Amino acid sequence: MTLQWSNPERKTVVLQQSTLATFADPVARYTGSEKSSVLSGLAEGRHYFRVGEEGTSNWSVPLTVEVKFFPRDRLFLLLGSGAVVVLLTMGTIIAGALRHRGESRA
Amino acid sequence: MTGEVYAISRGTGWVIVILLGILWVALGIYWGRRAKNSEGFMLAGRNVGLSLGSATAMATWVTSNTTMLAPVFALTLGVWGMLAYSTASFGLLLFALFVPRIRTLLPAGVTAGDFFRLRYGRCGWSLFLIITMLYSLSWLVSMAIAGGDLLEALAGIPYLQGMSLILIVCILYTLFGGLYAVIGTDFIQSLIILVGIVFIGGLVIVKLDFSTAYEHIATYQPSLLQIAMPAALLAVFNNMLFGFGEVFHNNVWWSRAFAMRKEIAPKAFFLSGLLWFPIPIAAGFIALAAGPLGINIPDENQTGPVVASAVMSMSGLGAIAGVLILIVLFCSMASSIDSLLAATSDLLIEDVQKGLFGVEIDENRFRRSAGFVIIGVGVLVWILAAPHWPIINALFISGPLVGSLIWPVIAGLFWKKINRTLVLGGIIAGSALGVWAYFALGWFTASLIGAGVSMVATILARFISPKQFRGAEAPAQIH
Repeated sequence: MTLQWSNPERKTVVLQQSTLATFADPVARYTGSEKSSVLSGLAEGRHYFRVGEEGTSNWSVPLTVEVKFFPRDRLFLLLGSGAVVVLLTMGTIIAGALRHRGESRA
Repeated sequence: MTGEVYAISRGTGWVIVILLGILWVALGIYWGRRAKNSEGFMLAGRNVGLSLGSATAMATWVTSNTTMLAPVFALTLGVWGMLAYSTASFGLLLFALFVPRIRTLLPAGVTAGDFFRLRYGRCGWSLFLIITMLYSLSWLVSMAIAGGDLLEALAGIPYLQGMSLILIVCILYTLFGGLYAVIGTDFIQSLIILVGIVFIGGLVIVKLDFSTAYEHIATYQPSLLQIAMPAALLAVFNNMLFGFGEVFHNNVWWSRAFAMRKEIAPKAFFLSGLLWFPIPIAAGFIALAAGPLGINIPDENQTGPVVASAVMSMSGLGAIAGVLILIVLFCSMASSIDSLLAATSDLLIEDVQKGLFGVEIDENRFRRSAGFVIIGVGVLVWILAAPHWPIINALFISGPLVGSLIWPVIAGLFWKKINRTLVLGGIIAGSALGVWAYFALGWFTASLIGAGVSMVATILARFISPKQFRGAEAPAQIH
């Protein structure tokens, strides 16, 4: 996901992330003068983000992000189907190619 | 990289692209002199050797998507994402097994359309033409857009000017040299792409402390290391099948299968697949290093250039970073745009002009006619790329459409009888359900659903009222 904020004067800002709405355990995800940041690989669950000018306590309204993975039952069904389709496809091609080679030699 | 700060000046950007353009056009004219007739222009005289053959297949498959999207896959899907992108090489490896059968079945074949006409009649051939034109055009337009975006992001060249320039260069050398020019320039471009990616990857390895990097990713991006990340796992199968569908049906690869010498073609495709496999891994690895190296990525679509530029600056190569990135990415785009221009134009001449409308073109008028078609395709691409629509989405949505052609190609090549109606019904059902899955379940399921549905229909078609295929025939007999 891409988080964007307004920073017309290109000041140094800090983007903080926390698992608590109170930001009692914040970690700085970005410090600099850009106006956006791509974040990836977040764990499942709720995450809070806020941005503010470095050295001040003027923080933006926190943004709540809920990360939910694809349902496990559907995942395993699709993974099983994927494995079957790929293996059958490869197997049929290899068998066909071997048969063609045999016929060509004969 | 953002706002008014560019990696290279606008003047430098223009100079690089114009110099590369002059080089490709000059080489296109030089190699194009060997094309004495239509077969020379479209199939390089059916005499392409191993090194040129494997280089052209590899370079064509290294598209702007490989260099720009593989890093996004790694950044968003982690290690599985890198591997998922690399599985597209399996399409080339398996196509190597098709080639001997293709050359036996169609000894005088010219396009992939010849195969579909032979095996599935006019109806199947029309369905193939609709799908392949949608796919090829969206691929071409997405690369023209990526070229314009790249020149704007790296050098501040306005989008429309950059996109037009890249397109004009590719049209010119394809126009003058046909497949001879495309294959020759692909060879040089593939070397530049390989050297560039290995060089930037090497710099990242030098800069990165692997244990710190692992710790950083495990703390801030834990899902990227998770073995059971659903979207990433599904992306492996989905991307692999998308790649199969792209390679198995498209005339870019069939024209190369016809152009290479019969005995070396399988080896060339196999080698190109092996050479291609590590490229997305290297490009993706660069993106995974972003977090640990403290590089901010402001725009997901610019992940590769941003990280490469930052790493080169850290290594004291800031001044040439933009130049090197522009050259590598320009080569990756040109090597695919030219191939697609040539292959799509061949398809329009052979299948639409001659096959559909019955217009025969004699040898004296062929080059002129081919020129008009190449320019026509180029103009159409320019018109579609100019508004900067998100055409890349159309390319991804075409995944289930090309995925649904996988099994009909396999059956047409290796089986002796089939129920054509059932196969064609499977292509339509697979395409429709795959597009539905794209929107309802997620992009990472679309090609899988499309290929799966078509596979079931094709297997059933082997046993329910199958009819014998016709034997190997020359293209003239197929029309």
